[in-house]
Amino acid sequence: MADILQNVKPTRMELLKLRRRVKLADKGHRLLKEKRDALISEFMIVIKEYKDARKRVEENLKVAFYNLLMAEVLLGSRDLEQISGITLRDINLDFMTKNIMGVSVPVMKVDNLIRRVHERGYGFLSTNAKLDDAARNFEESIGSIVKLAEVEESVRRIAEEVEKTKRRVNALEYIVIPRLKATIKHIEMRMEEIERESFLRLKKIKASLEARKK
Amino acid sequence: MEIALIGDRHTIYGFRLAGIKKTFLIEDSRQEDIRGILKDLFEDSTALILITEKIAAKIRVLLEEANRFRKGIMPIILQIPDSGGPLISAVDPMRELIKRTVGFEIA
Repeated sequence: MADILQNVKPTRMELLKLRRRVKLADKGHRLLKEKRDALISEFMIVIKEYKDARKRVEENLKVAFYNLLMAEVLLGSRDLEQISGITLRDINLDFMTKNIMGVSVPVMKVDNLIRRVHERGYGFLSTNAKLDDAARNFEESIGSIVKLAEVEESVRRIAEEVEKTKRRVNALEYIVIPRLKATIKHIEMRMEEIERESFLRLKKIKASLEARKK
Repeated sequence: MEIALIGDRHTIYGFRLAGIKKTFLIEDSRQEDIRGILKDLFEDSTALILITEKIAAKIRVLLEEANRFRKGIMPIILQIPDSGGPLISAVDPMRELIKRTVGFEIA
């Protein structure tokens, strides 16, 4: 049996108030449950996306690192370091947010990610095709990495919200509503008790009145 | 907005070839140095911080702290595999998250 609320007087007013509260809590409980289920189905979708995105990043990077290694073998570490210092640019990441069931999740986009060979800024004389491949692979990887970051963050945020909603649903279901119901029951019993008492009192008075009449 | 990378030598070469400017080389650096880097990145307009899994594994506590410190949705910290390929850790944090959220494992 759940606890009852403290400081509640057993009056009809309180009873009516409590009944209204239970009704509201029930409604809230139902809505939150629906929200939780909707969030979980959303979660399943992003989890699927997440797995694909992760796989793509891993595959892209594997190829990219292989080509980078080949380029390093052909060029030497020092040259590679120098070349990697001159291909820098501003990568513009568009960062927006999207709303899924009240959870804001990021949406990111990068434009002009993949450059042409002559746009990268290094000379052709002292470099080789493997370096071009590696640079291209890394540029492609950034695209998939940005996608992964977006999806991973969405997964995390939705999971957080699911947990929050779950906690609320459980609090209502196992604590708030039982407590309200127990209190209602308690008041009802007290009121019946009072009724019985006064009924008995009336009987007694009636009996004593009749005894006096005789 | 910008992308930043915290990584080892090879990861940095690779991503610099792709054009990422903000790269931080970490080789035997102390936690405090990484903390400083992260702090700077949190304060400027960096939207995405990439960090290699190996380094991330060493500073897990720091990353959790950073995530709590973060106010809005930015910046996002993402762990990426380095030249050695993806780390296979005993506990996959994502798997744990899924289990906790859905209540059971999904393949």
